[in-house]
Amino acid sequence: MTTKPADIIIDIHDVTVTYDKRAVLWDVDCQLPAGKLVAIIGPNGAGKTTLLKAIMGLVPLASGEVRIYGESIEQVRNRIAYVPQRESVDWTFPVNVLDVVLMGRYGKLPLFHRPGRTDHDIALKALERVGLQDYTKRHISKLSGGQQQRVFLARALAQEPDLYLMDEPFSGVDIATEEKIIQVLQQLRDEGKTVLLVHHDLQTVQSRFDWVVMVNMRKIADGPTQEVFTNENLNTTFGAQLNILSKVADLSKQTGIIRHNRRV
Amino acid sequence: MFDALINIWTDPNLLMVMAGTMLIGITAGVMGSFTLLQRKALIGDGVAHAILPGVVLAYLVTGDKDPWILFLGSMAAGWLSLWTMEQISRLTKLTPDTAVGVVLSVFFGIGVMLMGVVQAQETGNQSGLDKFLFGQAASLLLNNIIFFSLVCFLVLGFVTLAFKELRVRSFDPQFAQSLGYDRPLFRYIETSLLVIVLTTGLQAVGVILMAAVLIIPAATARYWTDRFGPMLVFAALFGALAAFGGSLVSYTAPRMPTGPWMVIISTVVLFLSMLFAPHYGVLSTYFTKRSQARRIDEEHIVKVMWILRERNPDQHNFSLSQISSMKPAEPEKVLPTILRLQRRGWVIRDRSQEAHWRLSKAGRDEARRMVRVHRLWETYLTQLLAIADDHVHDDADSMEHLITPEIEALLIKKLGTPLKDPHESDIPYDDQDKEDEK
Repeated sequence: MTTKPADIIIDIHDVTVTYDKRAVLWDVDCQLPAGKLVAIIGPNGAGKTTLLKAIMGLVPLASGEVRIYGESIEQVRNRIAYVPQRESVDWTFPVNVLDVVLMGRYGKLPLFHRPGRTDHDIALKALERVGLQDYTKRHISKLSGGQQQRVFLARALAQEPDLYLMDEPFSGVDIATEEKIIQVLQQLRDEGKTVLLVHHDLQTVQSRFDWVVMVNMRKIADGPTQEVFTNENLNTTFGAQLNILSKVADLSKQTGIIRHNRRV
Repeated sequence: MFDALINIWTDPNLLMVMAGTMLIGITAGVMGSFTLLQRKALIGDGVAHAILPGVVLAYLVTGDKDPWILFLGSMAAGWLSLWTMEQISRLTKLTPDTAVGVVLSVFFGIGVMLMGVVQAQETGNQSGLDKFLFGQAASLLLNNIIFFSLVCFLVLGFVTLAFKELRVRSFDPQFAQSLGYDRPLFRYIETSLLVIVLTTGLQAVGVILMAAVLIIPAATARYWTDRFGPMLVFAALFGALAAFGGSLVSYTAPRMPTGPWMVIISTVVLFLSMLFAPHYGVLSTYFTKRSQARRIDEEHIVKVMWILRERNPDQHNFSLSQISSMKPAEPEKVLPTILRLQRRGWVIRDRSQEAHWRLSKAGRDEARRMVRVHRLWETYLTQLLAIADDHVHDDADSMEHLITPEIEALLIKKLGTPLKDPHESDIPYDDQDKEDEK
């Protein structure tokens, strides 16, 4: 094992993920430093969300391993906040804004215990931080898309984690919300937290993110934004020359040649 | 007559049926809320049907009608059906709903076939198994009631204990998984409880109607609340209510089955909720829309009266036809709207004049705000968004009802307190009609 610098917090080693026998991520190797605002970018279907889920341990790995803070995910769950895509939940579900944000406290509570006064205070502070303090009792279906996304961010804040994993927090939000979210994320970065998010707006990458991971079924490049966010890497990531990989992936599905080494 | 009504309540038979079905109603209502919110209603129906062969087979093998043996048989069949559904959607190209359909019909078909075998064996002797098809609440015994209470206690206990876990798992499964709430043990308990609830319900309502007892009270509950906890309580109440009514009907009317009546009553309650529930009911939606439409009409009329006053500086009062000529609203709506405004105190009726409608102080305040917002918006569109000034009126006509005081303040700030709008009309900030009030 190679020695790594002390500030590497996520170590992704040779990770391959398959869905329904079709490989969606191949042999990803990647090390991410602490205290950075990191964007995962790549075209649709490139495996960005899958990479995030693989880090959080939400999908089985066909091969490889992920270490966070030098540990397996089970050991460090409580230090990580995972924010799924907004579209992944049913916003007509019978809960109000505060209910959702309080869910951020659940990980800190023992099984079967209810959130208490301290948890309420933390949840309210989180709501204040995203500018939704006046919406605590509002049903979640009566929020705009941007407000819903901010509720998700507030829930993550209430988890008081060291690492934030966010899946497209800017999708379908208004400009004001986007500014608000990026402002909070930059504050978090300045507090020493690490934020890793799936991003799809290439124009804002340079101005907002310290670090990028470019993926298209495999890792194309990763590193400080000014070093790796180059035309050449962008061409490789978004260009058409990757067709061979996806053809092989289709073949692998037909033949079932890649197997899971563990089941969900 | 009254004696008869009182006598009902002392009949142990009725009380037994009532207690039994109400326990089922409560349990199924709570469990059904999860099934509904997790979008598994169809699966619930599938499992309920798939239990039949388990019951019949247990009887065939043991030759015993002991409820515990039949219960074990149905549990096994319920679990097997769930497992089969999962394997079908995992290993084949069939979608999950197709998998449910396949399992439902195949299991149910096998069950009916096995019932034929039983009936052929018992020459002429009623086996009593056919009650599992449609249920037979009248045959509930104390033994059953004790068992139902146990199940009800188990379900309510688990839901109370694991309330937060169940809520987050139902709302956002991925997030729950990231918290580590996806332990297999938890899933087994959840699924087992569903199968147990479906199994216990069979005796009273049967496999065919069980899904209705599971889902309808939960769907009804959703109309009455926006919170998770209250929804569970409402679902339990509606389940109990249906059971209460169902057993009462079947007791008083001869040859009326309890289970189907439970379903009919809960469907009626669902229908009434669709109509009358606050916020989500059809009536409530209608009244909200109507009051919005009325408010817009009212705002139009006061605005028109302001503009009339602006155009005729020496006239304070206006006639109905003058107001109507400004096309503030559909003509037949003008009079009722003015009468509403009068009740509200925005318009004063002055019978000494021929044209006898004028704005009150409060009405003028509101009218001035409407006119100001309208003209500010027109100014904003032409100045800052460079839209031609003959295009902006209709847009401002609808925006004036939406713009809040905060947006108005923002507009004034952005435009630097303009005094004229693009059509050279004054933008009113102060009341010029102060002398009007005596």
